[in-house]
Amino acid sequence: MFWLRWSWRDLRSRWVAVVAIALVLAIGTGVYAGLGSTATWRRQSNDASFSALSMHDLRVSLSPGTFTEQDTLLDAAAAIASADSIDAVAERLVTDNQVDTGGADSVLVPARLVGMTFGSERPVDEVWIRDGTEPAQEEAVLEAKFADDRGLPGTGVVTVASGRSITYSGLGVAPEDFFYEGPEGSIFAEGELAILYVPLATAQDLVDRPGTVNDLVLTLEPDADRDVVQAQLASQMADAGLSATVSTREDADAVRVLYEDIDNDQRFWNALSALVLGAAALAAFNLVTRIVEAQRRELGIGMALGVPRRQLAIRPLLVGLQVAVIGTIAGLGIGVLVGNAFADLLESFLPLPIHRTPFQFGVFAQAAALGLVVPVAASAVPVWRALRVEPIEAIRTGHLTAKTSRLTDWTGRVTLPGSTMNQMPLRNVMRNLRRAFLTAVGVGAAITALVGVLGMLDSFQRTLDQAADEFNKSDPDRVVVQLDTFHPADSSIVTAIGDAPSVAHIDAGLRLPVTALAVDSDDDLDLLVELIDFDRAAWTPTFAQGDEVAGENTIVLARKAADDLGLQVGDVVAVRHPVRVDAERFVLSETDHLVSGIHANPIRTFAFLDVAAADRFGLEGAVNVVQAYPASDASAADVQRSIFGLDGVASSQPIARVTQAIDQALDRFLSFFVVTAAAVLALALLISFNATRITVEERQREHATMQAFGLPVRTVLAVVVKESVLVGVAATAIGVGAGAIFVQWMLASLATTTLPDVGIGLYVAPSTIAIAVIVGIVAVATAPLFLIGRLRRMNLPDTLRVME
Amino acid sequence: MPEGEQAAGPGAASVDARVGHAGTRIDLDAVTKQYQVGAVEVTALDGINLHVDEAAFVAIVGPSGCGKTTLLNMIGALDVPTSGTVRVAGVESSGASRRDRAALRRHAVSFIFQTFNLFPGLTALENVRFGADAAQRADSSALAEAALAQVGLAERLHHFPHQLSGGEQQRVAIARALATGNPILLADEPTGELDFRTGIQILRVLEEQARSGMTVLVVTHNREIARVADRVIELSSGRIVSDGAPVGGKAEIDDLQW
Repeated sequence: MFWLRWSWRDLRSRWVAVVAIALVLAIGTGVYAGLGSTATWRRQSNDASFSALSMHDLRVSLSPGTFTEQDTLLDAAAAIASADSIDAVAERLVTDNQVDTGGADSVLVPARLVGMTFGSERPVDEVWIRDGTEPAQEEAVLEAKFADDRGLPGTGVVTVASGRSITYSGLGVAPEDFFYEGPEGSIFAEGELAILYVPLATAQDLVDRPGTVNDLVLTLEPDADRDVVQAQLASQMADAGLSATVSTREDADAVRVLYEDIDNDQRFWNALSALVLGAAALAAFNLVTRIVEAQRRELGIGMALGVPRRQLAIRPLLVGLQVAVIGTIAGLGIGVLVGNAFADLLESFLPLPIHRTPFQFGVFAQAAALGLVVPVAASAVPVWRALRVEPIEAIRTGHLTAKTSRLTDWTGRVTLPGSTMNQMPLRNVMRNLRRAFLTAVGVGAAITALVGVLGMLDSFQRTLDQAADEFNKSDPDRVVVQLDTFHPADSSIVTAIGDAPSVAHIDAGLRLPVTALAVDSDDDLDLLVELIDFDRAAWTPTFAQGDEVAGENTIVLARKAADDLGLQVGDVVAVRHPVRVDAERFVLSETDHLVSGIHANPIRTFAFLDVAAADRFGLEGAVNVVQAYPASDASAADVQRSIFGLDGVASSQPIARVTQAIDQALDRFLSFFVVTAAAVLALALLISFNATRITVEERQREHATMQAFGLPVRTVLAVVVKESVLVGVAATAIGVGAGAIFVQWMLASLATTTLPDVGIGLYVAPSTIAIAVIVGIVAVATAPLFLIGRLRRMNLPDTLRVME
Repeated sequence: MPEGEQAAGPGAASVDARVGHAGTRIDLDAVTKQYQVGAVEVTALDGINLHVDEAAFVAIVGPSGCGKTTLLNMIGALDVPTSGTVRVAGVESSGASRRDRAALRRHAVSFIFQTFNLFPGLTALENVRFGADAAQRADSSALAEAALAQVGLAERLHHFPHQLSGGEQQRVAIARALATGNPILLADEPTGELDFRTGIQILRVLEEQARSGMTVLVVTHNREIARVADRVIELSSGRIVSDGAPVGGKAEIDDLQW
């Protein structure tokens, strides 16, 4: 009890320091708990959302362009041997279409019309109505992500390809559309496809296919053998003369992507949160150590009085325990706050009907365990050091206690310029390099975390800018028109696009999926090659390396693709590609290509060949993609409108939309970094202030002496500030260097799995360096200014008589 | 106003007591200092009247807690009285602002502390230079070297405090005070941390300063040390109980023993 009472008095006398250090730990544990929870939240939210909307276990899709009478598919399903395993089943009519959103900001986009049953008692692939109401007959629900992306209202009217208008009564999403990958060649395309969920009869009416369906979705009983049911369904469809594919829930893009990304993303956040927690732990260790070291002499007095060392250790160890307990409790609160911020972010960009974001006690317990151990260990180290020495050493006062490093002794003859007031800061730092270094490391750890987080943002942003620059060069209004299949270059569709009133000119080319084979491993890489007429096309890729496309056997790769394949300019890469043998059939062939250059787009997927290579694909004179450039008085939207409805146009996307979409997608991803950066900034400021405050406390007798010799407080303060600046410069250098290394490591290791398709180069922006300098130097240097009152109130006579 | 005294009081920040010795006079009139210690009000000084002429070597003695250090702090403008006036080098410090009292310390008085209070990060030379720099004296480096030579430490210029003995450290502290060029030297138990032989060395240095024209006030609880002073002021419970030449006459330093 005695020791507890004494420790309680200790706590009261330095509660500011204890609470501040506890807060440092709390931010670390809070961020760790918050960032560490996202995987569980996402998995639980996905499970709950797919389950709530009765996501199909199996889906039967008739071949494109084929339809069957309503109930045919239901009958076929009912006829399989394992029909008892089917829990619920629903027929649908799913057709491609186009939508004009109308109004002043009208957009024309490809659309999908999903005719289905609303309000079923046993629904399958139910639509979650986020805004508005379920559609009545002749009404629809518009897919919510598209509406959000295009800024459309919660209810409205759109026009489909047949020219008929339909009112949408609300915005919603079906589980298979939680994520939309887009057609081949388009990326970040959720704003490029309008999905309309409509009552089945309405869909049949809109596409003029009354009484027909082409899609069947089923959920199975929990104990059903899905593989067996899948096989029976496939067989049954074939027996019924229906050309159909039977796919599983996991085949759906939404399921695959939403679950696949979870673990990759979590590894990213884990590294980031470990950095923040590590920085907090290191700083807390340093600060607690310095507080406990101040009790060295009191420990010596205890030893001199014969108190057992174990008993003496209790009081300083209780300091660590106080920090640990307060830090853990505060960390719980900060964990909830940070967690809520992350949960809000997840909810804002994952269009799920159900979000499960319970506090993750397990993750927090991991962080709290470290938060408990660090301060106790930090107090144990100086206690152990203090108890090792003879009592007489510990209680010695006055001139006999002063110790410095060997380096200080060595520098005695080094004459520094300026007055002693100018020399004092550097001398003070040199006098106890270990302490100065630990302080710098403590502050530097926070700056490392800050630069680590902001550096990631910088690197992503610059990569995005590079991609945008590359896409937008020549003309940001150009529209990429994807044709539905290969057409002769002089075909009517190509001519029609070129002749469209708002189109100035076009460049027709080919865009094909190929596979490049790695040189020294079995890895391969899917690429989207574009065949371009390098001599005539208005847009050609920028060469980052190499400058020539020498004929049909050369290929231009992205830097990331070349690196992943182990290639350099001048190497030969084997490319597996389709070769058209007749109008309907393609075969795969493998051809060697010389890597003639590296293009400037950081996105790995894109590769370029000269149009002369088309004959190798059996596609000489054929095109499937057209770059359409607007006339001087026309916009990209005008181009889209003028080619809308042309037979043979699969999709059209202004190139600027691609960069906007990338920007939006990255913004969502990066919003986690922004929340983390805010926490880290608070952490850095807190550590800086605490480290400086402790330094000022340690130097108070010297400051009193300076005042005794008549130096004004501002001069004393200037000395403190200069000393802080020196430590701050070291801390900033440590932080920026270590932060850059962290970012490099993140990009080189984790980003390759989290964002494999983008070559992200290390970039720490000047603004990040400026923030690091502000936190590491300016904040550290100005921290003493907050202590000016303490210097003014200092009791000079008492302080001058303090025994050290 | 006596000749040579400057106008005193707030605003008289430009103290220059180094000009001649006319400003080294110390006048305390009815000085009382009271502290609140918990619920108890402690009177450290109780109506002190004290006048010290220039170039005097004064010892202030008395038992622990009698108010010796408080008195020295009043004279050195480290503290202000609860009532009464303190006038040092022609400046009334008792009513002066913090800035004016700092100016007084910068240009009129200098301190020697029992625990030396050297800057551990600075060498002996730099510690002494600090005194000259603080007093804004030109050519502080040469002054510092000269001051260290004066106290017999010309060979120890580049040593740090921890590389010096206790006596050497106190001599560095004296050199630092001398380097200020200020005419009043206030020493609080300057031999308290030192052994007899070293203490004698220190006393010799202090006496030399008094002989050279400085006003030296030494606070000590050691009556033997007080015997070398020209004048001994004895305090008890915050009051001056005796003031005059040492009992039994002024002693030579070589005759001291404790």
